[in-house]
Amino acid sequence: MPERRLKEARYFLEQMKKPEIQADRLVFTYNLNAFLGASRSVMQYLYKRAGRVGKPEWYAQLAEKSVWCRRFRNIRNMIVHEGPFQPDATHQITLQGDETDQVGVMKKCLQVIGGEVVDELQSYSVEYHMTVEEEQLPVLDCCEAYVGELAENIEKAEDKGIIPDFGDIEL
Amino acid sequence: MDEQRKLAEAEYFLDEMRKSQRFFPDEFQGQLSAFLSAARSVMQYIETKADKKHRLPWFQQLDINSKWCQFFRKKRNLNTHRKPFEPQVLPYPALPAGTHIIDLDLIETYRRRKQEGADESELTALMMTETFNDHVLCIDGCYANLLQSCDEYLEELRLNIVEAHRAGVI
Repeated sequence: MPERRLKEARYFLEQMKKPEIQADRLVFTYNLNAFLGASRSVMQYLYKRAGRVGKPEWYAQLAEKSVWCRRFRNIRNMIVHEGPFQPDATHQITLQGDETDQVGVMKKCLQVIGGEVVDELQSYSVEYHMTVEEEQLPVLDCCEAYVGELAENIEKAEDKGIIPDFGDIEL
Repeated sequence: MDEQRKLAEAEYFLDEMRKSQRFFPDEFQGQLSAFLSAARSVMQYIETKADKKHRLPWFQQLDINSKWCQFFRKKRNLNTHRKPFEPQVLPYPALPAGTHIIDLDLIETYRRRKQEGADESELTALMMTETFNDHVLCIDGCYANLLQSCDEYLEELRLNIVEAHRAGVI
């Protein structure tokens, strides 16, 4: 069953890549939280399975070696028990018009970020960041690395007989 | 504040479930998990704050009185730690192929109308009624509409947040 939760995590990762989701910070954060919950469950399922087949030490070693799992576990646990997590956002906005009117430019930028229609808008993109060991990294890159690690862990669990090997099932 | 944000997150995923439940089962499953997690956090945040203010007995009483919170907590814990929570699926031979989710009131109507000799076109129209595509939950041997139950769960959480404000916990 961990592959089911990995599939869910991938679904939310794909959602986070959509421009319309990225444009709304709140909705992006909802999907990030859902991603974190689904992906965390993958290791929790493996933990249960390892205990059930009498190989808890195998799981402990796996968790120790899984760098991204450790990093994301801390964030996810904070969200569940303490408070919501909100990634930092960097907005890139190109506007037509008078660039010396800095107050006007700032107002228009805030309107763009707030989802309002601004006639002078030429281009807009947003990138979300998170702090990983005191370094600011793009959220999507971190999530990609995390799901890659989880997929490898599922394969290792299948090889070790912790979970059944379903062969060609798409992960 | 944090509770309200998690509540809004749960509302968002419930709305997404409404859009996906008929034709996108994989998305629906993911959104259901996200809904369960977000909604669960509301009570966890209240509990954490109650603990900090030495009001855990108050929280425990609130929790005991919250039947939907208790019901969905078990589902969320199972979903998070052991296996995905999948709403009940009831096969019914009279349904068109691929239609597998049932509203019990509708089944009763279907059976009654069939016994009363309703013609095939009426029965087919009944079978294709929108509610046939709703997911159902089995609670103590009774069946309930999943999305309605989720709505009631959120309403319970809203009232609990109000209670927590009144009690000075948040």
